[in-house]
Amino acid sequence: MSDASPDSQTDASLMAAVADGDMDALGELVRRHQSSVLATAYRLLGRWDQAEDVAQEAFLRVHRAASTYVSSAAFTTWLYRIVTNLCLDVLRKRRTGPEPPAELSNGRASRPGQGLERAELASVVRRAVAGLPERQRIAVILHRYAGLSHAQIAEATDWSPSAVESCLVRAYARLRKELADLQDS
Amino acid sequence: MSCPTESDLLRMASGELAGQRRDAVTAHVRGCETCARRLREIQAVWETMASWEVDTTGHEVAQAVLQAVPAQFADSGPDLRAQPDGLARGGWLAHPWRWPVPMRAAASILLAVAVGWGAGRWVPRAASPDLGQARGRLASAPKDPAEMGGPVTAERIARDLGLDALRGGIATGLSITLLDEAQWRANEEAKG
Repeated sequence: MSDASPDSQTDASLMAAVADGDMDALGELVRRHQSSVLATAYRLLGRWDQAEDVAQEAFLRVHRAASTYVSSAAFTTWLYRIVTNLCLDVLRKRRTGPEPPAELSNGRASRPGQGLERAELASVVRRAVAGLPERQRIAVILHRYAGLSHAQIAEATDWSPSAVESCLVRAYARLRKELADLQDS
Repeated sequence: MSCPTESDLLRMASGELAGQRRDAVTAHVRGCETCARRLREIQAVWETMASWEVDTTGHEVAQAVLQAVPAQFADSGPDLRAQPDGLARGGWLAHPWRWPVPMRAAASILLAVAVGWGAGRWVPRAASPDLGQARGRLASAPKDPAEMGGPVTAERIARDLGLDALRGGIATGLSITLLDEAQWRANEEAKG
């Protein structure tokens, strides 16, 4: 492993170290990306237990595939491909199985000290996103909250670029209408 | 420039649009009220969505991930990176479970043969008389019974050959028959 500290290493170099069996490098990758992965999984699934399972499994798959990882591909795009597929698996099982009990809390929707208005707004946004058709919801969450570009979303979901564009345009149009209705009311 | 697409405006709001395309859209929006309004609406949605924050504190998975990784992949373990020829330090040759099936089968057979050979050499002397030693005693044994210190009995011959017992007709692997059955019977009758 490089003499550089894990903090200063790129994701690609950390992956190379993981392929060599460096557990410190794996730990650094997890610490670096787990918050975003957890938040994305939680937004997609709405449950912390399932979000944690997805996050843990995603990083274990990263470890198992480290020796075959191609550094020319962006690590985050590859990671979110794994996360998205795992979340889709969970969503598919929900469709065929019994509906799991919904969590009463959606996690902390606002920072302490912020007014009720922001908390209510967060709740509205959450419901509006949850009300989107599945593909639009996935596209919006990856775009707005995971920070993926249109091209990265296409890679992560294996959808065509035009499909991604269509999903995003429709999703934001629908959100714009719902949020505008809220503001008017 | 014609009015930008919704997709371009989305890219503009998210900061993804860059370079000449961004400059062109920016210039157009400055001069087109309709597109300016569209962009403002998209930006408003973008900012409103930021209110849905998710705090992941208490849900970290780093420890669980590192504990779930098998110990054999720990830092102190061998280098497991796959190599084309399998001969890299600690490569696939160092791990029999990675060998091809025919190779594993051959290794199992060799191991079984080695174990069997070693076990055969370790059999106690009493169960397997050393006939070489027996021939030696026979060659050096006195021919005159008087010199033998007593009658020649089956027990004595068996003892001299290092055998547990000797009965007539039993093959000893020697070129001469030590004791034919008739003589053996006669000796037994003499003992009474």
